Amino acid sequence: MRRAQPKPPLVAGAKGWELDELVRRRRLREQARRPLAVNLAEGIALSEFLSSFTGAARR
Amino acid sequence: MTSPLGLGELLERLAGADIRFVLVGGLAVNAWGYLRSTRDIDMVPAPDRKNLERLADLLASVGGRVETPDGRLGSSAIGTFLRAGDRTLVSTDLGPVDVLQGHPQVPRYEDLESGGQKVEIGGACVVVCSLEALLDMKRASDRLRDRDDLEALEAAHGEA
Repeated sequence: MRRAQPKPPLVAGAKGWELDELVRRRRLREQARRPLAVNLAEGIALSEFLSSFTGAARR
Repeated sequence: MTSPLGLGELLERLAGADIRFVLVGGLAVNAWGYLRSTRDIDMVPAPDRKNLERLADLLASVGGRVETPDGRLGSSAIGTFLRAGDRTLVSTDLGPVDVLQGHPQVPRYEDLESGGQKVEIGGACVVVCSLEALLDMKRASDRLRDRDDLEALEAAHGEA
């Protein structure tokens, strides 16, 4: 069984906000490579879950 | 009293009722890789009369009401608004549906459908608008949310 490849290190010495931004962009690129069906299902689940707290609901 | 959204169930019902439409807006943004919450289903329906009748019937069956600036209208108004070809916001028991027609920033159904991507969801199939069409719609908007979507999608797909 193949092991997952380790992710390359982020930029050494980056400041906190720069690191946050690098992580955010890497996550976005990873999500963009996934099947649309997976992302759509997760987006729906996230929206439904948050609506139970925020009251951004049906009526 | 409000209830949690049922967007997944609503989308499956739409797709399972032989209604032709293209998904745009927040759910399309999610499908293309920027996961964020959304409050409704934004869709562009095929404009033929039978399709709009099926859409009106389905929305009425889940408690649909037309939202207008002057208040909420009964389910019998849904078909009238859809046939008029205008943008129609319908609140339902499962969540709101924003039916986009005749909107200057939204391409025609035929153009969206031909470039769209078919996506399986809950055993049914929906068409999600192309990334290019989605980016064009976001670029044409000056809403803060749309600008945020645009930045994220461009970063996700290497166009930043």
